[in-house]
Amino acid sequence: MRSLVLALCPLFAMGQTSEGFLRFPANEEIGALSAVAIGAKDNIYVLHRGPKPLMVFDRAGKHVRSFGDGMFQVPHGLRVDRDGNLWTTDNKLNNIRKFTPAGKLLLTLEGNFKSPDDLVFTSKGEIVVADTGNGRLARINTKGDILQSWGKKGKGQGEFATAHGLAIDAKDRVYVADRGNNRVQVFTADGKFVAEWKGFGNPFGLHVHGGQLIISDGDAHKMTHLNLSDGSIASQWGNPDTLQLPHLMATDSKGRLFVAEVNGKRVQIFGLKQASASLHGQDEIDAAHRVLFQPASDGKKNTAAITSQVAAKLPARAGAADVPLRNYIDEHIFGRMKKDGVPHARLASDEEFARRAWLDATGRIPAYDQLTAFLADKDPAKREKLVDRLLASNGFIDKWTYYFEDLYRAGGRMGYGLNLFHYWLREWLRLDRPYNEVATDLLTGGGKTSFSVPGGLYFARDFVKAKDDPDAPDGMDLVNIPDTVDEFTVTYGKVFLGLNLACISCHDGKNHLEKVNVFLVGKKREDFFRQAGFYGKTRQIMNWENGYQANQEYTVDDEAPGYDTKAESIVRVARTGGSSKPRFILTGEEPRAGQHDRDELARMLTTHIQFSRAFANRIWAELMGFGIVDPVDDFDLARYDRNNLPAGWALQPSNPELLDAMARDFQQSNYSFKKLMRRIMTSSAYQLSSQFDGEWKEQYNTYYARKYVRMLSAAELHDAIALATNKPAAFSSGTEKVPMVQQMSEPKKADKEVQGFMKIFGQSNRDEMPKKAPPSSLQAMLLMQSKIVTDRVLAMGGTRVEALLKESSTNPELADRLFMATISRRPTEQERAVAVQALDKDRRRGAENLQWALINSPEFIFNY
Amino acid sequence: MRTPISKFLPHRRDVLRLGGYGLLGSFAEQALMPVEARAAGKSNPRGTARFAIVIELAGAISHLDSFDFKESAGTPKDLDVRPVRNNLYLSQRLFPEMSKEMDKVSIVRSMKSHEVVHFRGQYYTQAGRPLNPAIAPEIPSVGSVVSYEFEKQRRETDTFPTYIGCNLDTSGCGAITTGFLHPKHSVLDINLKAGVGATAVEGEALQVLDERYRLLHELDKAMAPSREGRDRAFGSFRDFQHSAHQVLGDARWPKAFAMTKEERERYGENEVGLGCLLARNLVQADAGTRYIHITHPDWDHHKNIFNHASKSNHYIRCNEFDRAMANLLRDLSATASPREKGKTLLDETMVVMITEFGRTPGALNGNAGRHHYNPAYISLFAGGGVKPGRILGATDKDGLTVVDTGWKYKRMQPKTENVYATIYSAIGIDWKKELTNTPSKRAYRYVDVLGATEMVMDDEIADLFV
Repeated sequence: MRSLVLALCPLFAMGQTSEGFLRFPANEEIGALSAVAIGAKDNIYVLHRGPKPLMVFDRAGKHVRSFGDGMFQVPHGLRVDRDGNLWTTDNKLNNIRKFTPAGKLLLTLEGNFKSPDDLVFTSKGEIVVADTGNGRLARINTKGDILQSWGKKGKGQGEFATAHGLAIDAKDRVYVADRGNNRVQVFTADGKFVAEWKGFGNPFGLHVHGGQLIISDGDAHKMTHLNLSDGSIASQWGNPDTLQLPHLMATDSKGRLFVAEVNGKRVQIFGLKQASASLHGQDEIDAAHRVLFQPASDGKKNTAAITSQVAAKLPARAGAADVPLRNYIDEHIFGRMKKDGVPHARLASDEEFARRAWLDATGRIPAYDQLTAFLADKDPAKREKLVDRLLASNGFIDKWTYYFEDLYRAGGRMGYGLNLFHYWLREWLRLDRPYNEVATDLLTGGGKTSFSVPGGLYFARDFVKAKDDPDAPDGMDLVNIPDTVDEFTVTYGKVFLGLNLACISCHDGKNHLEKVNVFLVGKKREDFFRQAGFYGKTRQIMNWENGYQANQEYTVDDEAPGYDTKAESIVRVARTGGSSKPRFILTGEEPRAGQHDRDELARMLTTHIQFSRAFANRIWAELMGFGIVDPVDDFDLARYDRNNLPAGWALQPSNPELLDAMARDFQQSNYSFKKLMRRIMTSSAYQLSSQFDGEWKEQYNTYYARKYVRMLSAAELHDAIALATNKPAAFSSGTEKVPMVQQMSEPKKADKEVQGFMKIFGQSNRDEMPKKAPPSSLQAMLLMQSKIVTDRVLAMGGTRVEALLKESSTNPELADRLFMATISRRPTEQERAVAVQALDKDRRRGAENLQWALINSPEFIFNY
Repeated sequence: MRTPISKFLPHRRDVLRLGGYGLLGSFAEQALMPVEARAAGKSNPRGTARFAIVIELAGAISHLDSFDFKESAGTPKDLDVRPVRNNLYLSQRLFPEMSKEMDKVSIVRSMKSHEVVHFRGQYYTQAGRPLNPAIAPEIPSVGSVVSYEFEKQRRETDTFPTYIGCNLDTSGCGAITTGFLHPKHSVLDINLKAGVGATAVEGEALQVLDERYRLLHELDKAMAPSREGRDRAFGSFRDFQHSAHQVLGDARWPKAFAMTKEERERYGENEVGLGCLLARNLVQADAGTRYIHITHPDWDHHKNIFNHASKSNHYIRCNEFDRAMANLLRDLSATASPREKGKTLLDETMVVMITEFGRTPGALNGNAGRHHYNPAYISLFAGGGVKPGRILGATDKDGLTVVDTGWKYKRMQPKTENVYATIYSAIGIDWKKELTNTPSKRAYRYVDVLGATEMVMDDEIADLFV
């Protein structure tokens, strides 16, 4: 006997509130419940494996009739067409049938199908059938004629293990739950492959709703929502307590999701909402109320008592376990934590997330208006949308141009080409050019270095001066080509491949690197020569006009005779011979006949997975605190495979599966830097708080179980001070004047005070590879006393303090706004009290001191 | 003007990942690992000095044209070399002031290095051991080790950092970090000529600073709940703020930077002059600083070493160094020690001149300069227990080979490691100590016997003291 049960599921699925179950007629035997469909007027239809498989309910859930006795063996799929007719599939009878809701059989299609599981209707009125037993999809007309079919059994693209559930969207794209292959495949209605999505589990049933694909996982008893735009995971919910083999699904006009549960023999109804990450949603509270609030026998309600009882019953604050797994990154990160029993921090609050995202994406602290708007926004997808906005902003271009200028050490012998390089980088970032093309441009081409970036400008950076020639006129800058090529090979090895070839540029790995890098132990200096050999014919000739070097410019061409492995070296151990025939150190591949050596280098390098790994690792390190391989330019490829480790050595990457997944993702997204950023920033892993409850153990480090704080970079810090105080600077950059350091093409052009400040905070001089400066008391001294801070906190000359003093009517308001403007969050009660006390004592001076104190707080100095 | 070679060695430097090992801006946790030490043998440090000042002539001073004078085909005619004392010949053109102070100084002429390039050489002279790229991130500078050793000797009133550097950022390898030691032992590097880091606050500005710092402190307490459970980096930065505030609020700090026009002229308005002047003030203040490393850059005269028209030449550099060190020695020796009757500050301060290597003797090269030369070069020692007037070691008539090692090891020349053993000894640190709890698990020996190309005696140059 079954009765209407408004049960409170013991563990709430995150935000997907169960509204209970469909009520079945008391005297009917219900079998395994396979499918549910909703008609145009929200009538509910159910298909199960009892004696009367088809059941009809009205929109209120009242049972109307059941039928179909004797007409099914293994009923599976159920759909309602535009006319309101019911279509079913049968796995044993291998047929498709069409009924009226009243129970009249209109059509049987058989002979072409084997164990069909599901079907969907296209906008043209055709039907796409999951012809599961035949491992294919078939598009048929309403008469049953097969118009087209595609697919076969298998694991590859366009193949299926079990083409189980189907869904179709407004653009007639067909989604196939490729159950067994743990993936969803997407096709056009005429069979063209569009995409493959995986990393969320094993799909059984599918449903398109609200820009998302909802997937039921009958193995794991959970539900996944993927974003239709790119297949990334938006949310996941459910567990074996709340779902008992969820199968096929439907939604009604109110957005309620009806899920057929095979084992549960029930249809459960869910309100599709997304709960906030850190606070209890209203629906949770309401549901708790419903259980506890039984109308008292006297009809009266004791609200206060109920509220406290409700509070006691509410599920534990979202912390340890319940974090939505938004994409494959989360699968890897939280999966590993779960496997090894590592606890993690809660998700960051909106305030924490906002400041962090702004800084990571744009190098700036959020502007007051934008921040308050974001905090007030109730859109459950606001974080994702914020990421998108930030990645599309000019700040993104500024910050990352600056970052890459540090990485590529923009300056030095780039000469006048530096300005060109600056704008070339900005263009790349603005257009999100594929990074493999960017790397190719930096490695190939020739010409005058101040005229074209692809043309050896980056190569010119590593210029090694030739030994002074007594016969040469004074000041003539001759280039030592082999030494320059060596330097550049080490450079691009680090920058593009994450490999430190410096050691083997002087000597064999053997007898030197046994304790340092197993991969390189097996490499010889000759391997380095042969890698350097790709540039063997490349020359860098100073532009010489009227007896002096003109324009700090070089001509780069490939007319040199080749890399001489016996050439004298100024900066390295003597070269004693060996081959320099170009050979790619990672694969042994040599340039193909008739091809240009450097073009081949660019091809081999950018198509190798290590190129993508190294880049993904670098960006991961920037956003997450440190690389999966750390340091990021010191990969030991002999320690990458956990099943193949050299004796006595540990695995080098903390999560090689994740790094490889990101690398492949990067490749498949056409080497899009923005997509990689987005992927990381929209994951829950990125959004964990730096605040961790409980005892942090050192072994948790590599699990990314919390956000690792980092100090703002020197440039970010300077700019943050300028932004917080609303007192921009005016730096020269090329022919422009820019207000922020991060917009400069040459930070060396900043005034002495700023340069000194930045140097103490670790600004790269762009002669060496960038590195982080450790905290020191000199940094603390500068923040306290440098004019960069002390001038700007004064209430004069249009500063923030001056403006807020005028705009704020009360001191508490002033305090709040100073906090928001400086550390991008509101003060707590206690903090406000301290601030107001200072303001009450002396409003102007107190405000200046307050902003000074906030700038000198870790909340300002760190990205946490 | 930087030496050309250091310009094209950018990649070498990135092995020195600044950041105290494990401190990736966020792993403050690891830097707080307790340091474990053990003695690897017994040394008997003399403990004759309270302070040490190391003056590094970065770029390498030509030994035969300075304190181991040898006439050569390249010697210019205007050096005016005269005997100064006991068989010591010095150019009056180059060292007029030091010539008057050599009664305080001892010379070692038998130094040897294995290094040939500046980046590695200057790393060597700052770290006291050759560069090993594999473990460089965890290796602290000598000054940081001294800071670590002297931590327990810091008094309540000590606010100045134990280790202060002058112009370390101009050296080829920059300021070496604290390695695996706690970041608090980091150098405070000041470049007076460039005006970096010399923030001294006085008068009303100090009042405002105090007021603000009090508010910061109050706010700190109120912010404690929201900081609970966060990275220790939050807390450790506050420690730096605390030390910074203490220094800024200490009346002695601005005094250390107060330099009269006369003093600045006397010492010289250049890196080494101002550095030595600051060093004198810091020693006089005795407010926490015990170890000072001054870098005097730009000695690398491959070209035009004696060309007066050159912007940088041997004359200019020698004159700068000459006035700086001479006045430093003068002022220190003229100041009575407040700690021990009858002693001067010089008695309590070991002053050392070090350099990476020498320069090629003989004729000048094709560019009228001298190249690098590591088989023989010099070091100077004064104060802090050093018996003055000693000349240890000797080279042949051309300054090419060392014919007398000058100390008890007849077949081993003293090296940079031994200079530091000598300094450790003078300031009372057991130089045979080793710290074992390093990230690489290799024991960090204060004086490492495993030199780059040969074994090194882990011994002080005892003959300087007797």
